[in-house]
Amino acid sequence: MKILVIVSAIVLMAATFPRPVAAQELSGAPRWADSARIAIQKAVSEQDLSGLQAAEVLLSRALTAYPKSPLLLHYKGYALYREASMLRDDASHEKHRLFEEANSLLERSGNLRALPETYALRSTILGRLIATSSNPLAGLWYGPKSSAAMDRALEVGPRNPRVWFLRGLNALFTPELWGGGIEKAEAYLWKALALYATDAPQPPAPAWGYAETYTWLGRVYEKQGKPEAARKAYRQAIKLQPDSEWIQSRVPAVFSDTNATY
Amino acid sequence: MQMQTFFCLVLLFLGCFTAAAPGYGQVGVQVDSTVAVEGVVRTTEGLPVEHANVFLLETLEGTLTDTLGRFVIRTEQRGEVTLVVKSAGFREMRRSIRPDQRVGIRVVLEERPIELSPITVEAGRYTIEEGFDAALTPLDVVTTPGTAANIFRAIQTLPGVQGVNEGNALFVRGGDASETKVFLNEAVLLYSQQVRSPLGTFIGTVDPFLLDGIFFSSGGFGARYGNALSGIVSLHTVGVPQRSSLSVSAALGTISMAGAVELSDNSGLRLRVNAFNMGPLFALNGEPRDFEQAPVGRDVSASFIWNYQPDAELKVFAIDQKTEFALNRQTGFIEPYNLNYNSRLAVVTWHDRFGNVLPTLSLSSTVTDQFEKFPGSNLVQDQRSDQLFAEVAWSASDRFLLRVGGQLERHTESLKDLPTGLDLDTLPASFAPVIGGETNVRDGLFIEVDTRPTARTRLILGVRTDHSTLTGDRTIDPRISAAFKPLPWATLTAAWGIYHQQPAPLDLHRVLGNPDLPPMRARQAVIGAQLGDDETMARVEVYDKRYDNLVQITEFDYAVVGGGEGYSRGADVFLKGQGPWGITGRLSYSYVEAWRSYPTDDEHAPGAGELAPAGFDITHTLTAVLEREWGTDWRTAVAYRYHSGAPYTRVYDAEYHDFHHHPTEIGEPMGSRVPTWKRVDISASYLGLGRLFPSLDAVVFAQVTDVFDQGNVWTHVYSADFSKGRFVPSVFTRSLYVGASIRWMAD
Repeated sequence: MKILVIVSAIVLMAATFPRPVAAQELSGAPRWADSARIAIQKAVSEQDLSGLQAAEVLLSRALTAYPKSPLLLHYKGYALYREASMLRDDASHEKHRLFEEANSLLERSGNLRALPETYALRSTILGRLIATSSNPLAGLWYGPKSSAAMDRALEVGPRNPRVWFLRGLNALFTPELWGGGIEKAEAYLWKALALYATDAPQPPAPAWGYAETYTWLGRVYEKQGKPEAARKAYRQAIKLQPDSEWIQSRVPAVFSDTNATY
Repeated sequence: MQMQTFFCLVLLFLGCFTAAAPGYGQVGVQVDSTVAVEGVVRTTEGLPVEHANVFLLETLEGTLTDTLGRFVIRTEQRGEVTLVVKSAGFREMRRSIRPDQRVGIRVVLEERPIELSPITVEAGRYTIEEGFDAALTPLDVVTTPGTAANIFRAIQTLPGVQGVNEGNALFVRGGDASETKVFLNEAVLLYSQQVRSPLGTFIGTVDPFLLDGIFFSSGGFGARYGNALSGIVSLHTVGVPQRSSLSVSAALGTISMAGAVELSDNSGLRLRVNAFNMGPLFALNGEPRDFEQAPVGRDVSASFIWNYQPDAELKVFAIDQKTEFALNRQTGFIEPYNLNYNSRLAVVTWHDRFGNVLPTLSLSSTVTDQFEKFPGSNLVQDQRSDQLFAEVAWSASDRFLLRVGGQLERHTESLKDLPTGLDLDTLPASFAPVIGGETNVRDGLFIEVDTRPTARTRLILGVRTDHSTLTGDRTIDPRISAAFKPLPWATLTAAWGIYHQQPAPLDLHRVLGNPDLPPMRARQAVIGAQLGDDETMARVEVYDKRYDNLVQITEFDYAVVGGGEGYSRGADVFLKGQGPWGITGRLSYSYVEAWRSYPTDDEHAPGAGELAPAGFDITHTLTAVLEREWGTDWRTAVAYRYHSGAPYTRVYDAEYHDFHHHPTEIGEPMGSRVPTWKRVDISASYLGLGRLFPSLDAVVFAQVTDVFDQGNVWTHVYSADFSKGRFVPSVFTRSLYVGASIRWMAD
């Protein structure tokens, strides 16, 4: 009994002993940008539209306090891009609206700070605006802008893996006649993967895309009729982010057999 | 036993006490010290606003309103904080509250009209920036062959600017360089008005990397800008650095170093030092002039920026520039010439936002001194200008903006003549006899309305008034500018206005000039159209300008005369876009007809009173630039420049009286032309070094100017007795120019 009392007292004191609060390394706009970055990443992984919209609400508040923060503008644009990408294909009007707003925010961000991901995202979004526009001449209007944005991204971040990933994604959805194609997509995605191996961005810088790149590489191999290569790519993606519902939703059932040996 | 029991009880008591007591950083024990900020958000009709974003600006703690428009925010904040309410389709609302007062808050949101797509195109206006409708980007300023990273040389590649000589001064739409004003952070940059040195007309320059926006207007500018007949260049220096950085650039003949320090999220320092010496450039490439001392110079600039509020900024900027050179033979005749030029500027700028009211204030002081040494005389010209600029803008709605403001400038000029053979450095300034000096105090007021009558139109109406103590006159300048977007990718523009400019103070001196000179006047009308925007653009403008009361300098005596009249009319074309094989390019072309009274200081002198081409009547000016990127590491460009020859007057006979020769028989005033001027420049840049050093941005570049060694001439001069005349060759023959720039940026 006595031992029990002594132990209980010691445990109580230990549990409530003052511990130093972890020092906050970020403050001001960077702090809110990093909070948004984490929230967006979680929402994308879990395919949680409401989580994404909550991140946008946070960014909207932060931008009221720091309207000229390039990072906050970047992440708001990025969040809207992700939200538009989550919508169903038949919601093209809403997608178009979100992509336009994202493009505008990223343009403002790019004017304040030359972040490679900003320009690369703009390039991808401008490509999406062609796809979601009802104007048959949209390609003539947005196409050159998309190319110019990607050129700028490569100029500012020639070794940024996210830039090469988005370049690969653009190539996958751009006809060969207009400079895209599946072979180019494969090459760019592999380049991205090579750069991800040594990628170590510090918060609040963007840090997404590694598992996503493998997922899209799997899709490329599927289109090329290479099931084994696709299986390996999907496996790598799942290995990097085993809890990602987004990856799970994109890996075809035939490739998602966890008992299969690759 | 009892002691052991007692000891255990004490331990237990201590454990419970520790767990119960509040403490800093204690985990698992919390005492709720928050208060609730509660309220409801409704429309002006009393309807609840659902999903409105309600939060405290200082902490961003907040929530979304429910279906009844209600909200509850829990916070530990005490004292006064700012409650912000935002909702799509409504104007943002801000209110100061005290969370601890526990009073229910009722918020009424006003509907906001549908956001209008911006109409940024204005008649005669071009911007150099990253973004929509920009004609050039800051990178274009640095990479365009032949611009040598000089912003004024980059502006010279835009339509509306004539290639008069090889300096960097701006002769805009048939106007003299003195008719275009340059503003830096709202302060007028003071340059020696007539630095018509043997190398051309030069004004000082500002490093393009110091700037985050360059706005150039070739005419039709609004009431905000006064005391300029032809054009406006408005420069704004960069703001708070986003991260600390250090860059070093070195090229043949120049070296510069720049640093930026991020003091906090909202404040920073910038410093830049630049030095140039054209001696190595001439040693490598040769030069057609006989320099005793090649042009050398340096400039140092520093700025402090503090964004004490998100929409507010206090900026202090200062720059000190120095240039000098010496020629053994000025123009081929035995006339040594020496120029030593210094200028210093300090400007404090402040702007803030109070609801929909945006005040701006700029206070500046500029000093320039110029020493010119001729055979037989040394001229020292000093200027000083102190200025105050103030403006308040009120944004009543998305469709209506009102600007009211004023300007006060005190401008002093003096001219001194030093006896030759004396050492300037050891001579006290008071020794120099002052030939003349004048001080002008000018005040100006303006009011301007910027409105969107419809979603597709924009109208800017303004009027300004200026008064000068020297002329005693008060001028009134009404101005109007309109833009109409019939299609998303097309804009039609038009502008009309009256523009006055005061003569320079020394032009009003009773001996050096004429104290009865009235303000110069111009009436401008411009119409134009633009198709496309920043990536692909086609733009054309036509204009007509009429001048009265022009102050002019006579062609051979350099005397100041007034009462000039004239006109200029022409067309400007600007094309920009992407071609095949990955080539991008731009082309600007200007056609102008600029005629003015032929200036003479004697009504009986040859040509007196006749209308003749102005000295800057350059009929055709063309600039074409093609660029291509090779992969991600290489960028190449080629530029072709062409302009018609400048006019001059043939002299057939002269006679000597009043200590020098005067022409007595001349050909048609300004009826002859210097040969056309053309030049091809190429450049190449390599950006791949950045891959070797991830935290560095590095670029190596090389340029060749005048690839085909055209043997250009830029003006015609006569000997002192007018017995011989000759064309003056270009300062820059075929030249190779190489350099590198390295920038390190903190993470």
